[in-house]
Amino acid sequence: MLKRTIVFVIAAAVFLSLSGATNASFPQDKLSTPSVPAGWTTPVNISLQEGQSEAPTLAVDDNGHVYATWTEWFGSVGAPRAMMFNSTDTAGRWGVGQGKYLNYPDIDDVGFPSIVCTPTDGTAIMAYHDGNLSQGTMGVFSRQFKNGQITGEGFLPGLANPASYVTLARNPIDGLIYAVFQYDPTDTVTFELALFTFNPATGQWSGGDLIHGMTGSSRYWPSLVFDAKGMAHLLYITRSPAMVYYTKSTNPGSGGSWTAPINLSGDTGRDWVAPRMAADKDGDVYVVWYGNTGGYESATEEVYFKKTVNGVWQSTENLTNNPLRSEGGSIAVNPNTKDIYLAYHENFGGSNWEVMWKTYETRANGVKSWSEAINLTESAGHSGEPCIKVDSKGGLHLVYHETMADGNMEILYTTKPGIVKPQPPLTILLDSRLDASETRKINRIAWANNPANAGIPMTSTKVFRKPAGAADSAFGLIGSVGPPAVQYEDLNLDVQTKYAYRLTFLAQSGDESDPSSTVVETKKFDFAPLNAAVQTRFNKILFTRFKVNTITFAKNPLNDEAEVSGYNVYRRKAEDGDDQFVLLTTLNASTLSYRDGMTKNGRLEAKQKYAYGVTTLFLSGRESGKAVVISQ
Amino acid sequence: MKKTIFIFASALCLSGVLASNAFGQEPGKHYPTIIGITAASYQIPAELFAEVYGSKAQLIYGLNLSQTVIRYRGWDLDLSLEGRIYSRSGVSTLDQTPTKFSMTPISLAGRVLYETKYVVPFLGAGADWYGYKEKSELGSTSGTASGWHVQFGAYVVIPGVDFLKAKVYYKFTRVKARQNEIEVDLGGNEYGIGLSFGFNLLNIGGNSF
Repeated sequence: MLKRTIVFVIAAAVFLSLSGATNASFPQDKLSTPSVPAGWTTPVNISLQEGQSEAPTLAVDDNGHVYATWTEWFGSVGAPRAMMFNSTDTAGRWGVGQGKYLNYPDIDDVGFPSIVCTPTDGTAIMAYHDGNLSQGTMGVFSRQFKNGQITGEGFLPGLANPASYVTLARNPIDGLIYAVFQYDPTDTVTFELALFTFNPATGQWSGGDLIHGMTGSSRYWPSLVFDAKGMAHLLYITRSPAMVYYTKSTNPGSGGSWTAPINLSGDTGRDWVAPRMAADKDGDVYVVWYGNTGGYESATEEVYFKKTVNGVWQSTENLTNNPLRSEGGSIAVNPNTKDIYLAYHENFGGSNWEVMWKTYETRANGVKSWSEAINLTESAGHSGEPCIKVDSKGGLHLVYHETMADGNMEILYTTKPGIVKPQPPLTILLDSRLDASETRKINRIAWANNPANAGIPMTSTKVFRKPAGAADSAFGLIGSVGPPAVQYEDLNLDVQTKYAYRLTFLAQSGDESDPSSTVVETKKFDFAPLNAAVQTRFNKILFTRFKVNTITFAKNPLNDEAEVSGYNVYRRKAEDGDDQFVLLTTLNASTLSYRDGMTKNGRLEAKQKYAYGVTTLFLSGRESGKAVVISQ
Repeated sequence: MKKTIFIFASALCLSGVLASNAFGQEPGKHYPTIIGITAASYQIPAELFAEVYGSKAQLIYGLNLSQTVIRYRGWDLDLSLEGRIYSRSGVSTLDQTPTKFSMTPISLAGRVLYETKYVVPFLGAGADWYGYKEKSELGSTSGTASGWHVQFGAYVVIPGVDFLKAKVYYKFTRVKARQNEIEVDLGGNEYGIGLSFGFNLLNIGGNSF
C-alpha cells in the first residue's frame, strides 16, 4: 500500500496553484437541494469547489459550531488534490472552503483527513497523511484553525519512518488531542499504531508510545473516540481478510495500558473495511462496520453493528440485511439518551447510491428499537460517504458527498437541531421560615431538573421574584445558582409581604428556558405578642388583700392585624415546665392586659411565683407560640 | 367640715368670753354631771385607710357623760365616758369593689377643768376601745382594738341658761387594729363641737377643797 520510499515528483504547478484553488468561491446556483426528511435542514453545499469533493468528516463543538474536512480531487491520481477545511461562524453560516494541496498526489493512498475540535473556543485540528518532502517519507500533517483561520500547520515531529491514516479524538479529561496513526517503526512495512498528543493551549505536538497488542503484525485504519470519563476506545483492522479489533485504555498515552484486542467482526469477507465507533457518557461504545456476505470481496455488503451494555459486548446485528449493497456506515450516539444514529450509503442500482438513515430510539411502545431505513438523500445523483455527529444538545449533523446536476461532486451538510432552548425547571416548591432574628423570613425555593434537558450543559438556574399580588412584569432577577444546585434561599425578607417566584434554566449556549410555573408563598407566620410583662400588686380593702398579677403585652406588628382574633393567657407555677401551662382566659383582639387573681375562685398564693404565657389567636384557628414572662 | 367646726367653736368661745368679761370673774353655778352630744370631724391619716376610703375627714357623732370627782379652788377633775359612731364607704384598690367600714369608739378619760363664769377650758387623756367592722364582697372582717388619746377644749356657758354649755374640742387618738397580719391605726385627729347639759346626777356638792 505504501511505498517505503516515495519518489517525489514535485510539480511546480501544484505548489503554485495552491492558494488560488483552495480559496476560490463559487456561485450559489450550484447548490443542490435534494429532499430530506422532516426536521432536517435543507442541505447546504459547503465545498463549492471545481474538483470532486469526497470523503467528508466533521466535528461539532459545544457551541454548535461545525468543522468539516474533505478531499478535493482536481483530476485523477497524480493531479492536484487538496485537503479541505470549512467551518461555521457564530451565526451558523458556513465560510468558504480552504485547503492545502497534497505534496504527493501521485498515488490515491494519500490524504484521508480526520478532524477534531475543542469544546468552546473555536479551535479545530485536522490531520492527514502526505509525503514529507524533507524526509522523503510519508508523514502525518496537521493543520490548526481558530475561528476558521489557520493558526499553524506541519508534520508531526520526530517521525523518521512512514506514518499514515491518522484518527483524531479529544480527551475531555485532560483536554489533549490524541492522534493515533499507522506507523512503521522498523521500516519493514509492518504498521504499528502510534499515538501522539497535541496540546491546544501550546499548539505543540508531543510524541507518544506505540499501542501494544498484536505488536509485530500490521494494523490499519484506526478509529479513536473518547467517552465522557476519559476512556479511550480504539478500533482498527487487520487484514486480509479484514477483521475489526477493539481495545481501550484509561491512560492512552501509555502503550502498555491498552487492553488486549477483541475481535469484533471476525472475517468480514473484505480486503478493507473502515469501522466507525461512538461512545456514550457511561463509556459504552457503539461500533459499525460493513462486510460481505456472498464470499470474499463479493458485492453483497451489509452494515453490522455491535455495542456494549455496561461494558459487556452484545451480539452483532446486521442492520441492513437486504439485497442491496450497504457500506460506509457512520455512527453517533446521544451521550445522554443513548439514542443511536446510523448513516450509510446504499446502492439502488448502477451508480445510484443514496445516503440511508436509521435510528435506535424509543418507540411508541416505550421500547427502544431500530427504525426502518430512511433514504435521506433520495436524489438522482450519487450520494455517499456520510459522516454523522451528535452535538451536546442532541442535535444531529451530517455531511456526505452528492453528485450535483452538473455532474460535479460536492459536500453537503444538513442538520437536525437538538434541544436548543432548555425546558424550564419542574416541581417548584416554596418553603418559608423565620430567620434567627424571628423578625425576617427566609424563602427556600426548590425545583427539579427537567429530563428534557438531558445533554444540555447548563450554566445556572435563575430565580425571579415579585410581590405575590403584582403583575408578572414585576418579576425581577434576584439570584442564580449553578448546577447541580436545585434550591435557592431568598434571605432577609419582610415577613408580612407574600412573594411569588419563578425560575429559568440558562444553558451554556446562552439559551434560556421559558419561565417555570409560578409558585406563590402561602405560609403565614404566627407571632406571639411582644413586650409581655407581669406586675404584681394587691387588690386591697382595709383588712383584706389579694395578690393580683397583671399581665400586659403589645400587639406584634408582624402579624396581620385583620387576622388576629384575640389572645390566650396561660399560667403555670414558675418552677413547673411548660407542659403545665393552663389556659386562664381568652382575650379579645383589643384587650392587651389581664389581671390574674381577681376572681374569688382564682386567688393567687401570695408567696408563689407564676409564669405566664401569652399567645396570639388567629381567625383561622391558628395560635402562635407563647410569649413567656415570670412574676416576681 | 373641719374648718366649719373650728370657726363655729371659735365663735362660741369668743361670745362666751365677751359675755363673761373675764375668766377671772366669779364662776357660775357648778354642775358636777355633764351629758352632751358631739359632732366632730374625724380624719384617719393611715395610708392604707386613705387608699381604700380616702383621706378626707368624716363626721363622727358622739354621746358623752362626765362626772366631777374633785373640786379645788375652781379646778375640777372629772371622769368622762364617751361613745361615738363612725362609718365610711370606699372601694378596693384595684377593681373598685365597694366596701363599707364602720366603727364604734368608746373613750374613758380623765379631765382637768378650770371653771370661770362663762368659759371652762379642759385638758385630758384616756383610753380607747374601738369596735370596727369592714364589709365587702372581697371579704368581711370585724374586731376590736384599744389605744389612747389626748384631748383639750372648752365649755362655753350660754348666758341665762347656765346648765347648758357649748363644747369645742380637739382630740388625738392612737388605736392600732390588726387583722390578717394587716395593722391599721384607726386613730386620728378629731375636731368637734357639742352641746352639754349640766346637772347634779348624784345631788352632791362634790368634793370641794
